[in-house]
Amino acid sequence: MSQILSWIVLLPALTGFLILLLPKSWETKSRQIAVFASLIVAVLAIWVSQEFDIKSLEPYQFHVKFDWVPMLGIHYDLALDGMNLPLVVMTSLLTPLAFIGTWNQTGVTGTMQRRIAALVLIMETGALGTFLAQDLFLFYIFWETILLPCYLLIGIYGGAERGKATLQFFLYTFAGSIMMLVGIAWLVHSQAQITGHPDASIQTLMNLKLPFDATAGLGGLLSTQGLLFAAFGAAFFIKAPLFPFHAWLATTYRQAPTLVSIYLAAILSKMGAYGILKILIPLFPEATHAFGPVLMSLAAFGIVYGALLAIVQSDFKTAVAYSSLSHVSYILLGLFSMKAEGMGGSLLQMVNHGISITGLFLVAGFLDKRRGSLALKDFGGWAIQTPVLATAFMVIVLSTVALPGSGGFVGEFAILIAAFRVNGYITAVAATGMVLGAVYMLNLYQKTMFGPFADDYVDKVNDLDFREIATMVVLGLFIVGIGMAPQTFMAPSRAAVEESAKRVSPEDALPTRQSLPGQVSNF
Amino acid sequence: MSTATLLHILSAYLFCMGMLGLILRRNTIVMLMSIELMLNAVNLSFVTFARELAQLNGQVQVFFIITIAAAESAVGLSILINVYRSFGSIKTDHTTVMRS
Amino acid sequence: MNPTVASSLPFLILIVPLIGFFLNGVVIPLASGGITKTKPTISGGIATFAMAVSFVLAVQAFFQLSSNSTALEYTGFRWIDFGNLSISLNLRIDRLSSLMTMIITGIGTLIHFYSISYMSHEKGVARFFAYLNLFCFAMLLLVLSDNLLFLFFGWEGVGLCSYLLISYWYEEEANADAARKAFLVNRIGDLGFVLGMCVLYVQLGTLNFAEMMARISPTAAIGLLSLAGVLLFFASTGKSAQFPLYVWLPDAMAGPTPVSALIHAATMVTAGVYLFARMAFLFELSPELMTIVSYTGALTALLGGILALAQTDIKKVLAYSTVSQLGFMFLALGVGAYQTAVFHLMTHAFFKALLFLGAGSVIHGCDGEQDMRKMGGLAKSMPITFVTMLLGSAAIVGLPIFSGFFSKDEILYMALGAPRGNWILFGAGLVAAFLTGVYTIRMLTQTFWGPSKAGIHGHESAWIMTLPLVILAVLATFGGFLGIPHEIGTWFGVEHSHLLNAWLDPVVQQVNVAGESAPLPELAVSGIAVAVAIFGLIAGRTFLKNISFENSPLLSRLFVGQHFMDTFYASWVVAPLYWMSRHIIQTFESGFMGNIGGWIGVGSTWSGERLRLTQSGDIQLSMLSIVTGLAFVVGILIIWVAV
Repeated sequence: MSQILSWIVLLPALTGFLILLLPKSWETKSRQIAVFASLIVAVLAIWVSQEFDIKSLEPYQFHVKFDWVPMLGIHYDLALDGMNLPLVVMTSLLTPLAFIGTWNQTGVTGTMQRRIAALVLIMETGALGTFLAQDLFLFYIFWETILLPCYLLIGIYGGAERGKATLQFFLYTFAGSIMMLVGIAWLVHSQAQITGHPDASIQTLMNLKLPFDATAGLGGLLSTQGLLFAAFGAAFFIKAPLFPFHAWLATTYRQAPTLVSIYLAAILSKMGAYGILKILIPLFPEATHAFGPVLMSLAAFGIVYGALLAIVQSDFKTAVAYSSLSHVSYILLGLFSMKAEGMGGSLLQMVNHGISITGLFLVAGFLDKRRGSLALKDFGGWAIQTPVLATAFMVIVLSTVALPGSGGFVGEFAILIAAFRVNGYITAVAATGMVLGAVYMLNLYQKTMFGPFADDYVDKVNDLDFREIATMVVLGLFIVGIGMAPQTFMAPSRAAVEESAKRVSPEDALPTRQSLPGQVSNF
Repeated sequence: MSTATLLHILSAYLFCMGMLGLILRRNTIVMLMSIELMLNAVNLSFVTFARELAQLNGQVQVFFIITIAAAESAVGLSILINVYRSFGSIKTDHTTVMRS
Repeated sequence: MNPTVASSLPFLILIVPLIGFFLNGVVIPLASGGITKTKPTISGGIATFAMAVSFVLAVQAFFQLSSNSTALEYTGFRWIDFGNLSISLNLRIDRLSSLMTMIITGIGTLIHFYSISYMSHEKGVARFFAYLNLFCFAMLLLVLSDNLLFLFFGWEGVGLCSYLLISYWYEEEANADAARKAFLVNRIGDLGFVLGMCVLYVQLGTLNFAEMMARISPTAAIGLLSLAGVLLFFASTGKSAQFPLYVWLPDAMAGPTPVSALIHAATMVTAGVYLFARMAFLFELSPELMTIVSYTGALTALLGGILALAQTDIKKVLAYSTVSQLGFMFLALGVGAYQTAVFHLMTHAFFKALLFLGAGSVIHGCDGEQDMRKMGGLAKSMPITFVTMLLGSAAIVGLPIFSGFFSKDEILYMALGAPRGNWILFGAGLVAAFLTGVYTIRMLTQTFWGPSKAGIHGHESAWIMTLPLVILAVLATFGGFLGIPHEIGTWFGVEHSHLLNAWLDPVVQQVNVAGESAPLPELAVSGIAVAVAIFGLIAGRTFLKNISFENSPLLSRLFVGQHFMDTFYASWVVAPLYWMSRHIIQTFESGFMGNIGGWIGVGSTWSGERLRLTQSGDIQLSMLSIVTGLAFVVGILIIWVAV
């Protein structure tokens, strides 16, 4: 059982390769196998999260570590550390849900089933490995594992403009990855020069005090730490994405098949955000501090920008894609605030956004499957025909607009509080996302579900089937559960995040009962 | 000037001749011969150094090179025969197109 | 009196409607095989029963409070504890909450009961009752929470239910539009609420009311706390339909009438008033803000009155009347008369719920007709509805002994006599009272008196609908006796005649008016107000009877239908937003951002095309470049070594 994390990480990919080797007659069973394997992973992940000791002083639990390339200081090093726990659980849960929710897509052949199942499982390994890796190089390998399957899936099974989508997606993310690789090499090299033996463990590198010189040009970007910050930042900001690195997002999300859209929006974007939380901030605290205001402004701008663009979209999936940009910007805003509650709120928001965006893309899949189109003008009045779909969609909408009591609110509230402590004006701009978010989500809802049902295409639209209902019920339970009792979900991360926040911003306390209020805000 | 230096100069001269032949001549057979010339120039250099430094490594290396050179000319000549069959010529001017 | 007592009552009061919601939302539809097959009697019965239980518990809490404690507290759980953020969900009933709870559950029960008959023709009525129960849950959470964050839970929760219920008949595009408008306008206000919470939390480190009150010291950073006050006031203008965010309330009448009665008259829209009463300690820090509040209230009262006159739809008259009455409440809040505002909140809940349910009965009796111009002479065919509406009208106009008389006159008295009061506020209040008389009598005249119009005769509603009317009529008539002014009380030798003030004194602030310093004594104010109201009634019955805004181009453009505020928002907020979004899409996003990826691709292709030329396949050329390169490298090495 000491290798449990290895099992969690590698089981999906192993199953994926097994599926590729299946005989032709077994091809149509590949999806069942994939769901089965991902469910096992989910069970293991949940078991691990229950066994995780919140009170333990040990930063790494279920630690698996051995040398891999000693010459370059590379280890095979997986561990749960509280920060990655929610994301591991989320990834392992969303994968089977995504499979089940998109079960009855039309026009799925056996070969297509086999390829999609295998590639998505390999992506799951990439995502879980990225979250669990405690060695920078291993992190990079898992990070890149996702790229190729994703490229293939969009390129083969994407929409009409898949060529453009794959080109943009690949060029952007690969450019980011390459810069990160250079950054890793440089970082480990500097580490080797200082200590004498190379070590790519994130924890070792955290203690490496790299010089940051605010006078080094471009506000310190040209100092060692600044350049490394930029190299790693490029990868994370593109993946998340942070405005203005988002150009690949809309086309890619729009053209990808539903299952891949879910993976991109719910899990890949979290890899970027997690990279910021786990690597960028702890390794380059001074640089993050120096660029914090700029990055926060960009994030706040991204919130408004994504929302504005989502408002005027005439296509369901594109609107959802831009809404994702807006919501991920909230996560980044919380991270760049570098306050414990902001980072914790962001971590929770990553999970929330993963859940709600999965719901939204699943709804997109449901609509597409039933109508054969995603143009909003083709919809209207579906609530009469599909009350269950309407209800499920409403729950997702409420979480997306951050209604209190849904998961979405908790994270956004914590993020806004933290951001407010850094800068009131940026927070005010960011908070307008609440209103704009409601505008586009209610627009989407109204244009699909409300109004008269135009029966010129079919007499009746089928309501959700059993599998689809089950998927949405699980998502809905998580939305309400997180909204009503967020502490249950945040408790495991608390120690790790607070520790990390203490390292990067030591002066960090609000007035308490003893000390009466003073002037603490920079508003 | 010692014998060794003279031999080095000879080796360099032979090497340059081979190189010039390789660049200037268009006949593939002659080009192969030029390659042989360059290899032998290197052999000469190896032997000279071996003698100079009183080590056997250089001489061992020469045997390797002679073996590989033989293999190389065998492979090269057989390719040439095939080239001649498909192009009707072994002049490099006529074989610039890689795919037909 | 004992201090705070731990009790599970707050939790029980809160949870019962939620159980009702769950039953109606999940269990009943599953049991009856689909939401469309649910029956009004069963669903409505469950929902009403849940509310009744909640009401009984609320009454029990009231008696506990009146006998032996100041507040009942229910300790919930630690909602979040992360970094500096630590908030618990605890419930608390003090005297203000108790009053609100009884209003919500009491009137809620009546309206649920009424709906059983009103919605009897609807398909899938379980959805309606589920939403209604959910609303009551959210509203109760709003008043029972002991901190601002969970008040906000309720605050947004009621907004959600309002959205769901306005769009109840969602097949009509207009209803869905109205619902969205209500939600979005409220959201704009809620933006202020969230930012206000941020300010308060960062300044005080807590959102708990009692702790906030304790930590606000006279030496605190008043500037930022005032900012929090401004933001919360902004939130209240959204929820409580004050100028400039009142525009959603008239449109919200698209929902079923019981919804208008419960949500858009009696309870939800008064949330802002409750917030002010609860957070008076914060708002009082900034007299400037309170002056703005009072003038906003006065302006809203006037504007609501004028707009009510311009309406032809019976529910819209009542909607603008609600706007106007809420203006009165904010006027009272602004001058510091928090208890008076709560008093008017209560009487308004009685008489406006009555008027709405009466209007619902009229609409039901006229088979869905809402246009008053098509009604007339209904007094004969709908006697109970007529009489109860008459009593409600007397209450809203403020005729003596009716409930509105006491509460509105107290507001007018405070508008003049309180330290922040003045003749302008008083005058505005009087004009609004006059307008109340005019539009009320106009509504009654057009619907109940005069000749019957073609096709619409009306029929009296079933007892399920008239019983709540009668109960509410009794409350609307006698509810004002809870707040008999001190001067009248002394005539009868009663020391504490103003029961409500006595009840609220420990928890809600009230400005003091010293009898001598007031420009007019309270009785004189009452006399003037009654005179003005009666003048309004007479004017409305006689020479303003045929008033019609449609005949004047200017007035009709300003006040009829999509009135000037709607036009303003449409052309100065909504249109620019969409214009901007479209232009960003067309220029920056698809033009610039969309092409970055393309440019990288084009760049690669372009350079590839050029570099391809070097691959001629000429071996001699390749050899030459190899040798040249080699020579170059060797040359550099030689220079390197030499230097």
